[in-house]
Amino acid sequence: MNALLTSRGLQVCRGERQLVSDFDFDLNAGELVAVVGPNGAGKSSLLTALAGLLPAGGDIFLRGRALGKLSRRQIARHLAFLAQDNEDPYPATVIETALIGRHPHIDFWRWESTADRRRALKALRAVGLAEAANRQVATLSGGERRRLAIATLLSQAPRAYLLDEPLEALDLAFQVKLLRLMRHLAALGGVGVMFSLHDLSLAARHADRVILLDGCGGTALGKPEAVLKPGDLGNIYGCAIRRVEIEGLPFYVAR
Amino acid sequence: MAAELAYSVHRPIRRGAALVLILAIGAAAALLMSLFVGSVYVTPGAVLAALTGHGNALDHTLVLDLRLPRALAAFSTGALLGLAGALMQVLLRNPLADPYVLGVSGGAATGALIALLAGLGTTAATGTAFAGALVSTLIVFVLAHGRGSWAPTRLLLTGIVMAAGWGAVVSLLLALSPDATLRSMLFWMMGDLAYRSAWHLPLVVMMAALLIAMPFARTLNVLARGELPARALGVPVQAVNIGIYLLASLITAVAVVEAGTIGFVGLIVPHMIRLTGGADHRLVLPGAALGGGLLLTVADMVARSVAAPRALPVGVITAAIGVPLFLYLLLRTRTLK
Repeated sequence: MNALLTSRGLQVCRGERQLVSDFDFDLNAGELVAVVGPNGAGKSSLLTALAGLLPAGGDIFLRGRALGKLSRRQIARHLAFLAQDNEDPYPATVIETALIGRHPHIDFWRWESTADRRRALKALRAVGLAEAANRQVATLSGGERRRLAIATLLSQAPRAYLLDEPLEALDLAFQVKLLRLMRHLAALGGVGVMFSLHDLSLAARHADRVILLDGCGGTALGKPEAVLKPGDLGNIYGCAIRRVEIEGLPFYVAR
Repeated sequence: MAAELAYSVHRPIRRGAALVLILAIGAAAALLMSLFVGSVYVTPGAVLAALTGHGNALDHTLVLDLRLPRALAAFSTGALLGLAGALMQVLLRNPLADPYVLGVSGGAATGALIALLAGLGTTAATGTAFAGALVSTLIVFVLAHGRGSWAPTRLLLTGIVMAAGWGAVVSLLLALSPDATLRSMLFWMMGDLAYRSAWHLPLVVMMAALLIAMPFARTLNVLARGELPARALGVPVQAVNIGIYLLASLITAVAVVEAGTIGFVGLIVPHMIRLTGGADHRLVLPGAALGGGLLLTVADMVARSVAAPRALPVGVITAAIGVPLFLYLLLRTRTLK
């Protein structure tokens, strides 16, 4: 089995609602998979469940091994999860926060090594925060904090990235920059990225495959042009959605 | 400005390590000083003579039998409170948490007051206070843990409600008690090292607790980022939460039994360390222990000497020293930004 992350017959529920039923999926190395759907359709729940952070029915395998048989620490070495919002009640510097990502790789009795710090600094550089390494997190803007959270994942250096709304709070330039960074990671080999977002246009242009959740347990999975059909989208979102092309790139507009 | 300096992977800024060293030296100095200072001043020569087994009997008694045990009791109690506060603040992800927030001290007070009301004396009160603290710990644990998931908010609310309940019981006991026992009860409640039991127990418990907690300090750093990110980074959150809760409650119980409820130390000392040395718990834990010990040693020294022969409640002094110092640190960090 070559897939990084595999689900077979996945069932995800929140309370009484069945959000995902019988979902078979493989996240392969080298690909970007977007998760889209209306508010409350279960995008976060699906990602959290695949990360093993939400109890779910069915089977999940991380690089061929059953997720339930692995410790959280073993999982964290291969799979990183970006939560929708971060709390930071205590003061910490930017570099300290990025170094947190090294936690699953450092032995219980050891401290971070120079190599760990170098990796964390490199991660900060990738999101444009290297200059701010010694700053307090509290002094960062919302978008900068989001980038810092992504840097923490980069320093974790997993094979599978599960990102819940990574583009949230980022300006237009950084949205594209982050998508390119994700593409770059996937192209380097051995890495697969799965991310949820609301912007269907970005999903269509940047993802290799798209998962569309209808909020009633139904899932559509496939190439962006096959899944993101204006008619289906209109039914699921409950409003007319048009697909237009500008300079050959697809855009989705709600009417 | 130091904060703007470029970060070096080879020499990460170790301001925290320097802080811990300074606190250790300060604590040692305070312990030494508390041997001289008190209602009667003992000269350095006499202290040295007493410590080496020479000198006259009065100095010997004063230094070795009265001041040294009391200073060690103050230091270890303060260290326990600082450590417990730092742990509770991570456990509840709430900067307002202190060692008493989950009702441990209320349970201890209730236990102690029942013993005093029954006329059993202070030795028995020590035992019943410890029992009360443990009962309170278990009640909160079972109630908050009942439905499996253990959100910090749920734990916090359960603890606060239990603390309020104990407060009502304490008021009831005070209202029922005759005038003769009321004074000793009030003194127990105010927190005072004059009624300490033995200094060995808090010292041993403090060192053991620090040894147990230190290897988990990096895990605490991750946990402080929130429960979901911590799990995603490989922390077995549930088990670590339970461990922190039991450890923090136990050491708080030892501190309360030793010296009653002493405010401010457990709340502000960990924050002082975070404000000056950074939030890395590998430095916050020893820093909070040393800082708490230092603060309480100094406060107790002041309390028993400033208005001698009258001794003031030590809680008054910890507040008098701690509140302005904490506010200064808080304001200073605000202007830095």
